[in-house]
Formats: sequence, C-alpha cells, structure tokens
Amino acid sequence: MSTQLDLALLVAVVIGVAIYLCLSSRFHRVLLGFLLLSNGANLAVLGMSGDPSGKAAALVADAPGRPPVDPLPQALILTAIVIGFSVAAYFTVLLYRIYTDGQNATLAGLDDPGTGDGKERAS
Amino acid sequence: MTALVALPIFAPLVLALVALVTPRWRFRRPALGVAFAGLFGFSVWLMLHVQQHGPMAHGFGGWAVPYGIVLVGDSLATIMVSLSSLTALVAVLFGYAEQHARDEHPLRLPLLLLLVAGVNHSFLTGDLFNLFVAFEVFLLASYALLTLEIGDGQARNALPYVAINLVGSALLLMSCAFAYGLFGTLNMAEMAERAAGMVGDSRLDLLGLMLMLVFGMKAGVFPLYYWLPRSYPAMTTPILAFHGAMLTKVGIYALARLFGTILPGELVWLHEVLAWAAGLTMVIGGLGALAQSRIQQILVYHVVSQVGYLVLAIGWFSTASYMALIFYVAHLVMVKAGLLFIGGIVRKAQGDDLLKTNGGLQAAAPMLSLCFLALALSLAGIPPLSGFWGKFMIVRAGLEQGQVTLVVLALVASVLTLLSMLKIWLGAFWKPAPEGVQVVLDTQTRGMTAAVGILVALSLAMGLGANAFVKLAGNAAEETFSRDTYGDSVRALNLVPIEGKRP
Repeated sequence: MSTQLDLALLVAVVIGVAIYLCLSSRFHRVLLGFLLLSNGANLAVLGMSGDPSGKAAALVADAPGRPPVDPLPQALILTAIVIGFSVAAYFTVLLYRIYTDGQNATLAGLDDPGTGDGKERAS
Repeated sequence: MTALVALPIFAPLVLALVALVTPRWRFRRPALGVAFAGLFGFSVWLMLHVQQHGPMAHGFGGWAVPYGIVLVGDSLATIMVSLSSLTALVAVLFGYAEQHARDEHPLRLPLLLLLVAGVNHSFLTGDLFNLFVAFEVFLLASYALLTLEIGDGQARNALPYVAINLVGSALLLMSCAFAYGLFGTLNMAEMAERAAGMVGDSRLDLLGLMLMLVFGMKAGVFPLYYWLPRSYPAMTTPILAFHGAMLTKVGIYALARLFGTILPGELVWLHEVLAWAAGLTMVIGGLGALAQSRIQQILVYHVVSQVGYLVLAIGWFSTASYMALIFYVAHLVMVKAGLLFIGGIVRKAQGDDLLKTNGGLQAAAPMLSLCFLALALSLAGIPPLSGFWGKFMIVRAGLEQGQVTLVVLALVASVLTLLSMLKIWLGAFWKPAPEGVQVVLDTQTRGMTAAVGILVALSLAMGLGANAFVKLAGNAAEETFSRDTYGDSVRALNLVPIEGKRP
C-alpha cells in the first residue's frame, strides 16, 4: 500500500480544527465543529481507496492495463454523507431550541445543578 | 426461507410508515399492539428455530459472500432481538394504559418502531458498516424521541446525549475505514478469518481499542458514562424504559460480538482494560445511585452500574463468563424495564418521583409494591430470583480465573445496589405518605401495573426455571466462542446456487 501522507495530514488538521471548535462555548462554533468532524471521518474513509495516482476511475472500463480505484469506500462515504446530513439537521434544530429556551447561544449555565429537571425557568 | 431473518427489521420499518400516515385511525392502537405482539412472537420463534437448526444467514441480492450484505441470526443475535421485541411490546402496552389515544403524541409510535428496526438491525447485521448504519438509524429515532415530548427548558438535557453520540459516530465511521484498510472487507465472518492470521500486528490492537472505545461509549462504560444519567431522565416513561433497558445493551452486544466473533482471542490486554473499566463502572454507578434523591435518577444510575457487570463478563472472556453475560442481559432487560416503569407509575400516582414527597404506596397499592419488591430484590441478587443466578455465574467465572479484586468490587457494587433499592422502598413504599401528598390510583395506574406484571412474571419464571435459560445462554455462548459456527454459516451462502447475478 502506497503512503498517503498528504491525506493523513489533511484528516489530522480537519479533525484537530473540529475538536477545537467543538470545545468552544458558542453554539455556531460547536455546530461547525461537529460538521467538520463528520467530514474528517468521511475523508478518512476516502483514504482507504488507496493512492489514486495512476489508477483509472472505478466505473470507466476503457483504461487497459491500469487498475481501477477501489470504489467501495466511495459507496461507504455516500451513505455516511447522507447520514451526517440528517444528523446535522437534527443538531441544528436542537441547538436552536436550546437557544430559544434560554435566549442564550452559549453553553454557559447549561450545566447548573438542580436545573436539569426543567422545573425552574430563568427568564 | 432464510430471508425471514430480515423480518424483525423490515416489519417495524413498514409498520412505522403505516403508523405515520394513520395518526387518527380508530384501530391504530389495537392494530399496532397486535403487530408488536406478533413481532415478539416471531422473534421467539426465530430464536427457537436457530437453537434447533443453527445460525440463519441471508445474503441480499445473491452476491458472493465477502462482497454482498449479509444478515446473520445466530443464537446471541436472536436472543437479543427477542428481548428488544419484548421490551417494545411492554413499553407500548404501558403507553396505552398511561395515556388516552387522543393525548398520545402521533409521532411516538412511528419513532418507536424505527428505533426497534434500528436496534434489531444492529443485532442481526453481519457487516461492520451496516452496524454503523443501524446505529445511526436507531440513534436518529432516539434523538427524536428524546426531544419529542419535552417541556420548556428541557431541550438542553438532550445535548450531552447527542454530542457524545456524534463523536461516537465519527469514531465508528473511522474505525470502519481503518478496518477496511486493514482487512479489505467489512464482512464480520471474513474479518474474523483475516484477523486470526494477524495476531501480534499492532494495527489490530489499535483497531480493537478504537472499536472498544466506541461501543463502550454506547454502553455507558466508565469513564464514558456521563451523558447517560444527564439525558435519560428527561424522557417519558415508556420511552425511558426502552432506552434504559435496550439501548445500552446494543453497545454490550457490539462489544460481545467484537471480542467474541471478530477479533482473535489473543488480545488479552484489551480484555484486561475492559474488565477494570467495568469494575470502576459498577462501583461508581452504584455510588452515584445512592447519592440521588429521585426514583428515576437512582434507576438510571443503576443502568450504568449494571452495564459494569455485563462488561466485566465480556472482559473475563471465557465460555463460562459469556454464558453468564447472556443470562444476565436477559435478566437485566426485564428487571430494568420493569423498575423504570414502576418509577413512572409512582410519578403518575404522586405527581413526582422525588423520594422526599413520596410515600404510602405500600398500603395504597399492594400489587405495585409486590412488583417492585420482586424486581428490586432480583436486581440486587437475592436468591432464588433471576439476578442471583446471573451474578452467581459471573462471580464463579471470575473466581475460576482468580480475579479476586474484581470479584470483591462486584460484590461491593451488589451491596450498593441493595442499599439504593432499600432507599426507594423506604422512601416511596414503606414510609407513610407525607402530609398533603395524595396517592392517586385509577384505572390508568392499574393498567400500567398490569403491564409491569408481564415483566415480573417473566423475571420470576427466569429465576425459578433458571435451568432452561442457563442452557439457552450456554448454547449461545458456546456458539459465539466456536467462531467457526458463525463463519461457516455465512460462507455456506456461497454454496447455495442462485439464478441470476453473480460477480
């Protein structure tokens, strides 16, 4: 298996940025962080097709003598993207709901003890 | 014929669509109730069939084995499917008793059906990527259920659950990628064969560690359990009971499958790590339960504590411990669901489940008290109830390996369980009702108690007729450990001639 250092670095950077964003306290950053995280994972799957240089596209038959790229990881990504999209839609709505509940788009105060049962309502 | 193994997945999917488009149909509830009962009946039939005739594998589209998608119903998987169908059936009946048809949220039943479809798919799939897809299907349904009927200001309780599962999903997807890179296939039977030839390769250890992390997160193993007691209590009772009883068990099943079927048995250090994490989970869950003052929160911490026992059995990794695991899972699903239902009944009868304001249920509702006592003592492991046999087998499997420290931890956790069950018993049942607190019992709470009665009866049957269940668990454990049975049943698909396409 040929080395794909460039793709590995790209995955590392994308996921590093994603973790950095997830750990901040503002909702829009957290949301972007999770979107990046799922894309980083998708890139890692793409890497499993192997080094594409010199290989033919998977579904093109007229490339005699050249081995095709492994198409399966691309099928896997397609599924993962669809799933990631639906989860992202849910997560956006959830964060919006929390925002309208508390009029506050940061994570500050969400963890107060004794407020987890929804009995109180800070205005 | 073998396509029948897909029925526990497809039937709930189709029913979910039917339930979605018929929100006002007069016979919706009876029809769906019968459907859930039918699903349970079919799952039990499938389990017994697999016991007699060996694992049932089906490859879709007639593709040759490492390429196509396969479903495999072996003993372990079909036992889990039966348990999830049972829990769903009781949850639905409980929900019928709890609310009038017109008060029920029209999306609750369709989402519950989707949840069941996803959970069953993750038990039956023979393919790692399909496991990821199944996880996502049931997670989306469970996110939706978690926030479907919440009140003002409760949406934030869902945040830890959703966040940790988003991280878990990304990790699982990457693990799938690495597994594909390592083995060149995601078919579990094929992966097992290729992994067996790679013992000593550190990449195999890393992949095992990653998958263990992901499934441990789903199961709620220490130190990855924090989300569970935060998010679960916000749900309505039937949904909470299904989640508490089944969803952590999906993680347990995946761990059992990972170590029992896919990875070779030589990864001893991973088993050790798992066993010690389990020991801490048990004790911390037990201590957490003692510190709570609400019934549902105590019980939810117990979900964490009991997951410890199960993971301990996986970590000890022998046929005896797997037998204990399978028996204990079956016991736990029934008992845990039953206790969470009872917590819901108390909430309904007294308006709240804060132990300070509860009381007097022992005099007002003797049947309910009896149910609670049977389940609580079973959870704590008092003979001859089902929990005793489960714990006895786990402890014996540990002592056979000389794991004295962990056995002591397990017994300590058992005492903690008993103490917190006593706390609920004294607070809600034995103590006279505090002044101004009413016990409202009507046809609804009686119907709810009857639904719990099903679980109590089954759990008692499991304790008194332990022999039959132990035999079943023993068969399933042996089948899981003789890896050939699983692999052969999948590879046998290549021998069946199918007209039409072949790669």
